[in-house]
Amino acid sequence: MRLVCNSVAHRALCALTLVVAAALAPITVAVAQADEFAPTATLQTLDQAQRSQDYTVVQIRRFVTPAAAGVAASVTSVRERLEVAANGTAKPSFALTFLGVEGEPTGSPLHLKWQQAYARHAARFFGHGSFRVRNLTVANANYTMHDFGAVTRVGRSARRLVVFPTSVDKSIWLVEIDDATAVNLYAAEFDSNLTLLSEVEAVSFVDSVGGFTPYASTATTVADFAAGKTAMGDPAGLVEPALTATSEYRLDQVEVQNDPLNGSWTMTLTYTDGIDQFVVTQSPGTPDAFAALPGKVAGSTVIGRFRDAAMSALVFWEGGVSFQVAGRGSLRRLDDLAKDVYLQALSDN
Amino acid sequence: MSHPRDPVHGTPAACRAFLASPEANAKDAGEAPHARACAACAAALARRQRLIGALRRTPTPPAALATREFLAGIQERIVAGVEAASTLAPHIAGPVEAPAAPLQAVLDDQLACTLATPPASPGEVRWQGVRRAVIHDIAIRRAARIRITVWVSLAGAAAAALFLVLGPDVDRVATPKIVFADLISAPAGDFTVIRRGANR
Repeated sequence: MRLVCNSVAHRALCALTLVVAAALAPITVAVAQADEFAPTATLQTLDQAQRSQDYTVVQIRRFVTPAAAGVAASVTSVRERLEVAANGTAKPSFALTFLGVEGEPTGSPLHLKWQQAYARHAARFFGHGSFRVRNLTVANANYTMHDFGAVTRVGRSARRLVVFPTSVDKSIWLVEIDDATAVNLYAAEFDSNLTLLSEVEAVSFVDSVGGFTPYASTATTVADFAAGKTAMGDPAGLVEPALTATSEYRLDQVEVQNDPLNGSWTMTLTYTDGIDQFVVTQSPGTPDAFAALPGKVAGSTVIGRFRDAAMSALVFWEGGVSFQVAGRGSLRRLDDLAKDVYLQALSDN
Repeated sequence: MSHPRDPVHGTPAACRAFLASPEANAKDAGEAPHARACAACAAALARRQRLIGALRRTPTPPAALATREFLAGIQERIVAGVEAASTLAPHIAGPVEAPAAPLQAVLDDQLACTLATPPASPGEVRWQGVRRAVIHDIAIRRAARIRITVWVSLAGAAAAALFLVLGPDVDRVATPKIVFADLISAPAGDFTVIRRGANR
């Protein structure tokens, strides 16, 4: 296992060097600058900018669907406007406005579909869909930052940085940080095989923000698991996960949400290692989605698993509660976490 | 009556050859060239046909052959012939005679006396001994069965005790085996939205 990890880490580091070098115009100059200059931005710099900097940026968010069996990879580029009003916390007020799908006329079915998606899920795109420093202390323990020199982005002077995880089963981030404001102008996510998983590219930037209506999430943020369970009416079957397989992750946020259509509750526990995230979602009072599967017998333990290069999603049902553990595709330790949660649910019931 | 022979076809050798040939046995043998030319062979063919017809009919036996008296006469002649020619027939036909002398007269005196005398009873003492021997044999077998039963029971108890002491804790529930079933599409959820833009 150690030998495999070493070889993968070595390969990833070598490939990372090639990718970054290919992305730079003056390859040797960039490498020389990395040796000559200390990093001008750190994770702390980025964290501070999130808490204190107002800005308005129009950016293109690219949703990359990896190739699957019989299906080619695809990319959907969506233009959006992000307005951020800092409030001193890691979760500033924001408004994310859908502007259009690149190459699609306004009013087309695809345009309308994405418009609806942004209206419902803007909070997820802003909070979880790009590079952010979510916990500075933990991020410093789990990531290293490497400076790859000066670049120009949207006509502004910026710094190209690579945020490299200490564990090989996490994403590698290539970011370009505005020199003046330390706001992220470009973020590309790669897996250890240097497959592009996501990209957000600014096309215009203003270091101020006008009046806007902040996005109002339908989910309620609570202090912890116990508070969330109380807010949901103390339903039976909920499990507070014990993070054995993912010990470097910390509980970042607990949200509860009530569906106005059917009155069902959902608790979402978000865990972070400082930059990466995974979620454990629990929905009590739901039927067993696997009950109709051939071969499924009462009492059998099955976890449905979807995994590609971009995401992992594990779903299972126990005691009237539907569970989902979801994260990035490279984080295969989520399989062990899902089993642990399942066993916890079985023992509680 | 003899028929004149044709000087060319009527030689004896030619006639014999013709009558023995398959041509003479055919249905239209009378139309053969030799038969037309040789009157003798033609007459022979005619006789053959008449004889074949006669042989095909089963003759009716005379009525006298089926009478009871005729058959009885045949049986008497057979018996008389056997009696006249066989030495055993008189013995078989005659009555069974008693032995000429008693059995004792032809056996040894002591043997005859022994055969004639019924055997003596072993006596009460011997019968009691036999009875004791049988009972003793039964007792031995019963003791062996009881001994085997006791040892088997002790061995089973020991095995049960070992199982209870060293076996799995019946109070502890075995860890269930969890299996993974791969899905072909991403389930609805937060990460599906983040990666795909919507629940797909």
